[in-house]
Amino acid sequence: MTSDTWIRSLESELMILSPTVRELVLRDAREVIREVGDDNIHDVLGDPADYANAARNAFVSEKTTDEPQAHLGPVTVDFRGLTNSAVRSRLWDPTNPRIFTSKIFGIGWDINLGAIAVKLGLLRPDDYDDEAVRAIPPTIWRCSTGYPVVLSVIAACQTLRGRSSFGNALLAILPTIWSQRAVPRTEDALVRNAIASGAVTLAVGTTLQRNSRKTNGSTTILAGVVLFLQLLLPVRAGLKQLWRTQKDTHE
Amino acid sequence: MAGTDHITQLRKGTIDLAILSLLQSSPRYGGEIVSILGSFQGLDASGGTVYPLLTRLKKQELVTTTWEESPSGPPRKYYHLTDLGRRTFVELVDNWRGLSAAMNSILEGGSQ
Repeated sequence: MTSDTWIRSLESELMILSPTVRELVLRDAREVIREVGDDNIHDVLGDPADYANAARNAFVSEKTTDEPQAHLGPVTVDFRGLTNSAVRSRLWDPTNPRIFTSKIFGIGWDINLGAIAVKLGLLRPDDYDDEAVRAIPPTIWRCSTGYPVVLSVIAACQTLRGRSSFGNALLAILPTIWSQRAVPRTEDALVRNAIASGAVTLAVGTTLQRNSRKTNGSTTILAGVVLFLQLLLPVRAGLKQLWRTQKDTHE
Repeated sequence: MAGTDHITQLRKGTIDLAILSLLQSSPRYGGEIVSILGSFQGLDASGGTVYPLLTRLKKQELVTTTWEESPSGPPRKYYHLTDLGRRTFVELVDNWRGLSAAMNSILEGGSQ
């Protein structure tokens, strides 16, 4: 392998890095090649793929989706929640004992409802995983995913009857469509459905409150409770199903 | 703090090996693993560190889980080493011993 081929292979393996860092790695590699000569490239630097792997490990940030996208002084900022399932999972992460987590979409903080469930003794930190989600009984899953759909229809009817604004209907319908697009029975589908359930509760509740001329924070609290229950109850049902299945297998 | 980053980097991987080692002797539940590792000051392994690692080890098929009745509360998830986990553990222990000997030698100012 000539030095040009080796460098080209390395370059193609380094596309994940920023142009500045990539150029730095390539420059260092070129310098070493100049010192050792074309014939010894492989002996000294090894395979371009391995070299690239080591460079990626050294330069790619250890930043995980636990961390926000950016900081505004002490306040956290993150706008990846709509597109990134790992970011959304911060809303329901029983393995993380921290209650406050960076907002999944916006500026500020959200509550890690998984940590609340663990602190209330409703779940153990490692109880929740994709196995528990897959074990959710079909009836419970249908009820859970049907909730935002039914409330979206109610929100649409409220708008058609002139009792609610078009924006309020969108607040219910868009998250519901977004949640229903998730692949069935994954951890992310559960979280999406809970977010949509919270949003539709807020939309319908706000309209009902406005029409009865009562405005207080109870709708927001109710939306939060619905979000929490839409995560906790299906998972608990899935866990019970898993325990039952395992018990039956043993017997 | 820069020092904290370096310590985190240094500890990375070590806790994986510690968990595999604990599971080598017998299956254990998450809380038990956290409690044992937490008793080793240098490891500084809290639940927030250990539980995500257990999830990752399960995804990598190095451990598997079963539910066992618990004397208090609902059944507990017990972690067992898989065959792949056992092989990986043996390999990691070999590497760890070589690495540890080399590092001790370097830290004591020696050369090869």
